[in-house]
Amino acid sequence: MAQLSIRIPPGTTHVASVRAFVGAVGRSTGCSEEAVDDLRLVATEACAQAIEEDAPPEGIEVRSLLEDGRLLLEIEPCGRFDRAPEGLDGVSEGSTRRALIEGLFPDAEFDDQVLRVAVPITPN
Amino acid sequence: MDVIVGTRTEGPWTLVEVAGELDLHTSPPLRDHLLELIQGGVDHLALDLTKVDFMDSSSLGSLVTCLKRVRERDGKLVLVGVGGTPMKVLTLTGLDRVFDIVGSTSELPPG
Repeated sequence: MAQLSIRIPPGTTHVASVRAFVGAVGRSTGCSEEAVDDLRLVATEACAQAIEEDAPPEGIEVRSLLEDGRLLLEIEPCGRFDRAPEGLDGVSEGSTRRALIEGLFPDAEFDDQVLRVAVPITPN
Repeated sequence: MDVIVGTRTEGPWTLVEVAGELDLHTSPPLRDHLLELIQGGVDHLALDLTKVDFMDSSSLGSLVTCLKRVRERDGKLVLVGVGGTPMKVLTLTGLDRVFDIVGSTSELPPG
């Protein structure tokens, strides 16, 4: 499968479009519903973090790629995760969003404002 | 998109019914509605999340803000019917131990 991607302007209203994109890609590639839910949550958290850290005007890109029997999702930029969402200061030691992502995906890679997560797939 | 379906009174509780997806775009209007209720004197607030199928940490922040505000007034905020992704988010952040959570409106305490 070719790489699929969506680029959204850095506004809160567009994050729902990312969830729709990630959900469609996940289901069409054979991810479990639980994996799809987790991917949608991770993509939302990363986009929200980038928006709260003043994402660039060119927006945020979410890319999906099939690789070695896995669906790989990349979000760029994903922010630095050095700021808690409003109301959650002090809930966790570091970033609540990052803790949430790492709770769902212990192997999540945070690399120079690119977040990478992967889930196993059952090819259709 | 407005996620607030309705607000009604059940005994001592003011019940706010919510539906759809809660994120950093949709949760601020909900937070403002809840804070208005609290500011207006509501001290037993129940949030029915039965029809909420998605919730992120921005939404949790909004709910925590409301919880703090209602507790400052010796009031209560109870979450009703939490499941799926919203429950997973609450559990992973440990906030399931902070909020009072019941399965349905019939399980709301008498007051």
